[in-house]
Amino acid sequence: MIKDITIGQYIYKDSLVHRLDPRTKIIVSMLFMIGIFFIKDYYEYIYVLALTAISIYLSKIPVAKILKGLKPILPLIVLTIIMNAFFTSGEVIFQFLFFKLTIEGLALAAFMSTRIIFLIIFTSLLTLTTSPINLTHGIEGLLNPLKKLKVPAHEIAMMMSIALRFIPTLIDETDKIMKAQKARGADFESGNIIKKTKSLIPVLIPLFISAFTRADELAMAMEARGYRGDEGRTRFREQRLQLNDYLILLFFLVLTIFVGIRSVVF
Amino acid sequence: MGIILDKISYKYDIEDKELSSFGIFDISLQVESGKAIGIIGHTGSGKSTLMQHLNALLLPQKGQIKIDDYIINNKSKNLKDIRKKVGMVFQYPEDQLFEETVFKDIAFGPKNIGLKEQEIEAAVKRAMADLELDYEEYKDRSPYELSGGQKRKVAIATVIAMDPDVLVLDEPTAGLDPKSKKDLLALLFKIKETRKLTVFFVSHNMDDIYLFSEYIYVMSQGKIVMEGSGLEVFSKTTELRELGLGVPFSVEVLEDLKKQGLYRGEIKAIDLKELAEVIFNLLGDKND
Repeated sequence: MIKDITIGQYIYKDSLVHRLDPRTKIIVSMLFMIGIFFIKDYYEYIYVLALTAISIYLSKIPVAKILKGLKPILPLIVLTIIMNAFFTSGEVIFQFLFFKLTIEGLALAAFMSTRIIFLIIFTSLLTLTTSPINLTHGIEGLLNPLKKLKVPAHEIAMMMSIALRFIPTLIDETDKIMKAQKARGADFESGNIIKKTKSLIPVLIPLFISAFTRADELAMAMEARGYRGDEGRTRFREQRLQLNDYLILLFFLVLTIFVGIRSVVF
Repeated sequence: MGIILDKISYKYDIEDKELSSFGIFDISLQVESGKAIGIIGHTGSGKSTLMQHLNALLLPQKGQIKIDDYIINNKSKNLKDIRKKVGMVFQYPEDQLFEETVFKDIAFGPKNIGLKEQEIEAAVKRAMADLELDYEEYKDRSPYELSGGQKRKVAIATVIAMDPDVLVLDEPTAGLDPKSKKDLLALLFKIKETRKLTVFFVSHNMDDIYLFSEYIYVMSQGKIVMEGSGLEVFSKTTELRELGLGVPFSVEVLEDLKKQGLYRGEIKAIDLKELAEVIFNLLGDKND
């Protein structure tokens, strides 16, 4: 059912990771992404594993929840394994038509998929420990310096938070309209892909119209409450980096630079 | 012939073992064809859930529904026949309009149930006539340029055009101005008579419910807690108020008169004419 879709996987816990500034977490996730590409040997994943495990432990997020987050990217991992295993040249152990399974391929497949899995697990910590609203605040904070280059940072962040806010509303609306059209005999399940796509028109048009109406009303309501954009706007929660933030940022920055230099030098 | 609900249950959260979650529980009722049934209940009492079972938008997790010869249970297939038989007018039905012209929108339902070109045209014409929308004037207009009341009528015509035997009206007049409200309800119940429909009428307006329903079910927390004719249900004012429901205007006035010691008779729902008579008599007593 359409209602089962969940968006934003934020889990509330009182932990060190939750308390970090969203900007810190975004930067750390980026540094991790960069750092993991400098890893060249299997045994080095032990350090990555340790780092990830400590982070998860500190975040107090149940491991099962994190592993669940791997599910949607399973096809991607499978694809990576197949591509690497069959299309890497080397010692052939099995051949079918032009597909050659090689030892080097298998090794590379294991290496690549491990990299993807770590990437997903670590970055999912970001969305698991940061509420969507804080995440957008963080993005706004990071984009702030770009304002000098006329990047509309505040507007981008506002658009993101509004979009996030309206996803559940739109899902409800879709559900309602689908039911109404079903009651009028519409059929969304049978037929080929073209027929199925066509059958969505009676849902999409009313949905668009109501979304535009809603947007109009929201704009009006925001103006009525004195919203004038970024200028002169104050925050209920000011973002300020704490000692923890600085320490963690420093740690990851040094780590990434070290891994980077090492991979270039050696 | 008629509609029989046999112990149907539906929970939105199946894993929830307690009855606290929203849904309906063990509902049985029996309705004769051609009756007007009023359904009242607090928001979240399960009215809409129950109504959505009548045309198989939701399938009962337990129990079954029998509508004439059709049986709906948790394995039901071929739902189109049931949806043709039971027309459903949702709240704010104009939100579902999507075609370029009024004709095309009303023809959507009949087309879906497989009518032929000529039959479709006849069905649309008849439905528009029933809702007092002039065919020539409206057929080529965009549904979006109509007024709120007319949009509502077009949306209801889209359901009527499928020629159902049962009509479910979920607050059909919500958001309309008082006059359009009155006119639309009168029109709907005229259609009920001419087309010999069985009507389920959900509303928060107790006067409308009293005026138009022959039998009333009161729902609370997914169960039917009271049933009877308008006269019976609306005489239980204390119970209704405990459920967070109102009473018809006449009942309220009679209660007030009684509290002030002016009226000594029985408190019951009456129509406005009778209410005027009661007050007239009271005035007469005073003047004597």
